[in-house]
Amino acid sequence: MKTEDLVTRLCLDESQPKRWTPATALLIAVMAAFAAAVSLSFVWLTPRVDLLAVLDARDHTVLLKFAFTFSVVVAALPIVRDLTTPGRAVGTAAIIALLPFLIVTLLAARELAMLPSVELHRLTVDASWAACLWQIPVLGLPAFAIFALCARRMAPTNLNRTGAYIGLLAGGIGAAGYALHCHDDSMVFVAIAYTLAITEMAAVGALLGPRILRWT
Amino acid sequence: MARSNEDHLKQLLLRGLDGDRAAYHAFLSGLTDLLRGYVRRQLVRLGRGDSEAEDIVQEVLVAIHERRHTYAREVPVTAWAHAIARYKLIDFLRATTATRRFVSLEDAADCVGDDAARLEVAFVVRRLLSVLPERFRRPIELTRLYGLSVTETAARTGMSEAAVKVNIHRGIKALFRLVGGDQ
Repeated sequence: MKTEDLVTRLCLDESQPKRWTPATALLIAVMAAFAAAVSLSFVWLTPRVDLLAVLDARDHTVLLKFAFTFSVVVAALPIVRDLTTPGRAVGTAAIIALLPFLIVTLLAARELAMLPSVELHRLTVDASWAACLWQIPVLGLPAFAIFALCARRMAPTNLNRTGAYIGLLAGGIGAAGYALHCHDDSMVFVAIAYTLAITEMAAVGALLGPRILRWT
Repeated sequence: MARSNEDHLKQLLLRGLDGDRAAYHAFLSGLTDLLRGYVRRQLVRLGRGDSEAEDIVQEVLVAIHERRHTYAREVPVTAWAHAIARYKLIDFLRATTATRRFVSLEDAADCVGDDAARLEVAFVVRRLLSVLPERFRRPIELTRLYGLSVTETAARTGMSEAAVKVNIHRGIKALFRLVGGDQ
């Protein structure tokens, strides 16, 4: 077909363009992803028995866990929006996405210095390391699928990078779901185990990006 | 890409997105020229023939049309289109390089040389043809550039076979007059 004919045909195309801009679609995806992770956490892992009590008591170590996971998501969102909009320079520096991890590391260092070693031992060595490392990615899996579908509707042009940040988003959301269940409240534990679990997802996302995000 | 181009295309696209068909047509046509230039330059730079250029341009146009919801008003249209074109070009090259045999550097250099000459010839011929009236130009293009037979050309253009032959003959004569040759 001649290009001029193609242009004419495209102009006659009656179908409406897809309704949502990248920003709107992403916000919807975030809500769906959170809903999926939270329901999966409730059904599969069951929330920690003292969840309401600690939330009620404004126990700041528990709230910090949620704040950490939310901030991972919030920091990665504008980057994913920019990556799925062609020609848009990524406005937010990658360092912003790393900021939550930096802060949680500082909090962990403070905890190491302050808490008595017996208490620290109870909080970290006896903690559920192995469970955290595979349950966060599983909880984040629906989120990952939702974001991948969402990104494919847009037009990401750097698939590895987009995949990595989608993994980061999904990891953060999976971690939020896990925090509902997890009763290890040490920042040292969060700084290491949560970070590792989220990084796993980001790495897998970066590797799979070109395969699963490719659009034609 | 030039500034005036950007503003002009942006106007057309925005009007097109609001439902102005003519503006959208003008946008896609204007973009086609830019895309063609970009894709050809990239292919030649990579030492590949520009024969695939038109296919890629068409793929990019379809992608731009289908992904027009990703256009954000604060992004330059040319940057947006360029990002999509680059993605499609890389995608195309990835899909096709695996099947291409290894070419030594000397051979590749020959190819690039040939290609530049061929490009120039193709460019000159197209320029020349573009000044001919439609009834001469189409039959010449179809038979001499695309290799169709007189019968096929007649079917495509709706002329009789005799008319096709006569028009080719007249068109070529006109071309010779244009370049100052005598025949």
